Amino acid sequence: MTSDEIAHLISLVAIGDRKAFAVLYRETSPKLLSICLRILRDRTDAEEATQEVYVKIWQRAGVFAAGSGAPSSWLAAIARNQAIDIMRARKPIADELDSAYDLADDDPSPEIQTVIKDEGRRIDTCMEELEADRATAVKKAYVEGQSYQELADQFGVPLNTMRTWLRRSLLKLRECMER
Amino acid sequence: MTSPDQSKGGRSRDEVLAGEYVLGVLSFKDRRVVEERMRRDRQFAAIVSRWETNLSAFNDDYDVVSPGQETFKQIEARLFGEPEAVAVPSRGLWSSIVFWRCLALVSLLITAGALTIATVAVTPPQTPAPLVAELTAANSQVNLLASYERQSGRLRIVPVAIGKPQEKSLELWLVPATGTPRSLGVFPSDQTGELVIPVDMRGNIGEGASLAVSLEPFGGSPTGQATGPIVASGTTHRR
Repeated sequence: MTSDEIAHLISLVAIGDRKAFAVLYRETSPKLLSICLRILRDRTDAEEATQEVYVKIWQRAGVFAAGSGAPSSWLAAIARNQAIDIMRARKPIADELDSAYDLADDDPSPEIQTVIKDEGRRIDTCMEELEADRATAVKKAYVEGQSYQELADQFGVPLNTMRTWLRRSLLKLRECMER
Repeated sequence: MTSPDQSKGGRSRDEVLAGEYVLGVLSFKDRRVVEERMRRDRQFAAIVSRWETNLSAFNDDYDVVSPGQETFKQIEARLFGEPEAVAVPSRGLWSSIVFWRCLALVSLLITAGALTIATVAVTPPQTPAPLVAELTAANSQVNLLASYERQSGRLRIVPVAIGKPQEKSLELWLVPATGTPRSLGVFPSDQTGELVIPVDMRGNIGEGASLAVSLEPFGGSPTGQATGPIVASGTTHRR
């Protein structure tokens, strides 16, 4: 099913079309369940999370229909956010935004354009510019929903080092894609 | 994190924060802080959405896994109710908060003598469709949709947005003591008057929580913040 066809289904769901909702579920649930399963690592939890995901898709379809963007990214983001929220609620990690939220400033930050513009490059090209272990950490964080601590343990580096790795990697990726 | 920082350092920080949110490395509470920021800072929301698009190439790493047979039935049951439970009056949010000001609105409408029967459904022979009337009044932001099932003698009244179908929607908001209202969902056009509150919001609705309904473009506020006029509001309490 093409991106346009899925976008059309979502717009029908936005006006309460239950048949379109069933088709959308049939076409997209294997991917979204897989996302939940990868992050939650438990089949029952993942199925329950998937239920939540489709309840949200039903409720928020109008928001997608009114906006823009790829439908597959929108659907995947709902599934990832759901699974990550369940994970973080279950295994709490330290809150940081109340304390001073600063980047290590011993490395000059690349210039970030204020204007949101189209990317010149794909993420894959830019990932290749990162050091291999950092690129792996970025991808593991995203795909498996791992926390800084879990990543630090896996890579055998201190927590703060892992934080610095990922934050600098994000800035490098942004700089690369805007180049 | 307070007001958006326009300095270069602030821009970098926003890029990193948005990226961390999309990667998923933030704590549960910090994720809520970021989402609150997204609701009131459109530029920041655009930065988050750009990361979502950028990193979505990683979604190729996820396989496909077929869900169990029961999963979709459970989703439908949660959204639309069990088939046999359809005729049972709702014991949900609507009945538990004194139906807000709608009842007051009804009496207002009656005294104004402004009731008009808007539409009457044709009854097919096999399954009698309910009789439907849209109750309207001048200068009102909402209409009341009355549907009457002759077989059971049951009449249901739910508020609906004024205007043509698919033009406006009613959206429910949780109004915090400080900060901007948070959406609890858009009333679907299937006219049950029921909403399933997202799981992550359920903990926020307790006794004393303020709820409001606003009139929004069809499908709900495009910005994530209430844009239309508030048509009714009230505070929850135990009966």
